[in-house]
Amino acid sequence: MNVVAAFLRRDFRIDTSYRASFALRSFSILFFLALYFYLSRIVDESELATREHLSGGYFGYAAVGLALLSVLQVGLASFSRKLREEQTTGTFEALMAAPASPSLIVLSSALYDLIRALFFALVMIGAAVALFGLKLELQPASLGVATVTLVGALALFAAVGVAVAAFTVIFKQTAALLGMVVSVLALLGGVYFPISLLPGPIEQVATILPFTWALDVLRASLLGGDIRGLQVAGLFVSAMLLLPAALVGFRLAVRRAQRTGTLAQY
Amino acid sequence: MDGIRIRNIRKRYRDVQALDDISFDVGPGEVVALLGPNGAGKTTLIRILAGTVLADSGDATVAGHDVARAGAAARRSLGLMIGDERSHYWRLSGRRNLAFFAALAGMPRREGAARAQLLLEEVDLAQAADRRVMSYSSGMRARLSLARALLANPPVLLFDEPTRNLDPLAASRFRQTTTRLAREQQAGILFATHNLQEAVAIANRILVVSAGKLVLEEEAHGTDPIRLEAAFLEAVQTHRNGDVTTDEVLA
Repeated sequence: MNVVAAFLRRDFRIDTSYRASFALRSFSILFFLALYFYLSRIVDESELATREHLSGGYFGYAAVGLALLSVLQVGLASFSRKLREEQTTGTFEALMAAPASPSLIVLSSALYDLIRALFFALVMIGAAVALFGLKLELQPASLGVATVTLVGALALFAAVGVAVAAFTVIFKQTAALLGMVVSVLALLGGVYFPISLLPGPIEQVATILPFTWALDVLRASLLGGDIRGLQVAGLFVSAMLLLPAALVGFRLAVRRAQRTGTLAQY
Repeated sequence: MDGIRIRNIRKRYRDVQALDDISFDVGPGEVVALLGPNGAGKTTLIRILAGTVLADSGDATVAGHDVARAGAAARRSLGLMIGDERSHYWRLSGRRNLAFFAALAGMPRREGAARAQLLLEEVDLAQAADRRVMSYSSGMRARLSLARALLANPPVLLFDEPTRNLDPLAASRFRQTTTRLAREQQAGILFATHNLQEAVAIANRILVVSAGKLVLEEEAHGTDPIRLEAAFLEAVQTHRNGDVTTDEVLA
């Protein structure tokens, strides 16, 4: 816990040393929400209602999708981004020479970013309610389901993020891979539109993605749809299987980079 | 044994033999200079001991811990000082940099803070402890690196070109500190350098590596400095051109 807390303190201090970043991020959330708020006025709400039995219309649908997508983006990218930052700024070798395990270092290094992403996702949903009049299901049960789903989603995103970090250790530059993964998940997960609009075979692929399950459950809990317990269970089982596998993959990648002498290279 | 033990270490990067059958020891309280031209294999050897590079074959132990098989225990027993002055978090203060690495070394927060304060005073950075590292001079960053290496009071210290960015006065102070650490704390110190004068000034023993081979091992005290310089130059020439003998260089 001492190591994790040290990483959180370090990243909080570095983050808050850039004074404008918090304000800029908050403004960009507002502009993004405004964009989808006005876009929702030209969307055929009856078409959406026949496909998704949710309250809040297209704006609510997109706001929850965007909030989870922002956490997904950080979850996927932050492990490899932090690793690459350490490599390029020259601190990576000092970190790897410390007695803490490489897995603990890589997991801890992205934790602050994940917590901050979660905070901004809540800010986004809060702003959608407070400023744009979005109506949410705010019963304790639905909020509880939403919280549990977010925890499961974070664990799942962390697993994929650690796997991408393993690629970063070996191939160094993985921005293109990350961009592709996020775009594919945004398309197939139903962030911007219901997946029932996709062609049959692609829709079938989309329905078996844990990211889709996370988004379905989160929307259902916040916008009054049917919560499927199987999807929540599937989300946690996926995370529990993928996270240890990703950590083993990361350890193997570090071992390979130690053999080739490229661990500190970028 | 305490200190460093290296036996028959080999490391190859694609078509370059970085280290070729290197063996030596560094005992407690001993300062050993690893001298050689750029690309001789000094940094690779330091990295193998620090656990960031794995050897192809051979054994390396730090304070009795095998660096490949008991990496965490080996890393707990050593302090690494890299000549690269970028190896700190520039937007954090010197004190917070040390507190962070103290936590990574397993120290509780209060103990880490106390140790950081002590070391900041020892390396003469107490006045600048709460300034961001980005405002430090190269010499101050090097001193902060030394403080970081000493955080866990390790029995083994590895210095990779420690005075590379230091002015003569700061380099001289660094040499005094190194000698004191070996004498008072019985730390085994291996430092890589290509500064022959520095090696002679503070080392008990000098190892010259060239093209991955250990080409000379001499006691520093009482060594004929001209012969040592000639051997070093031979190593440089051999590395760059192929084959020049010590006698030819001496001539």
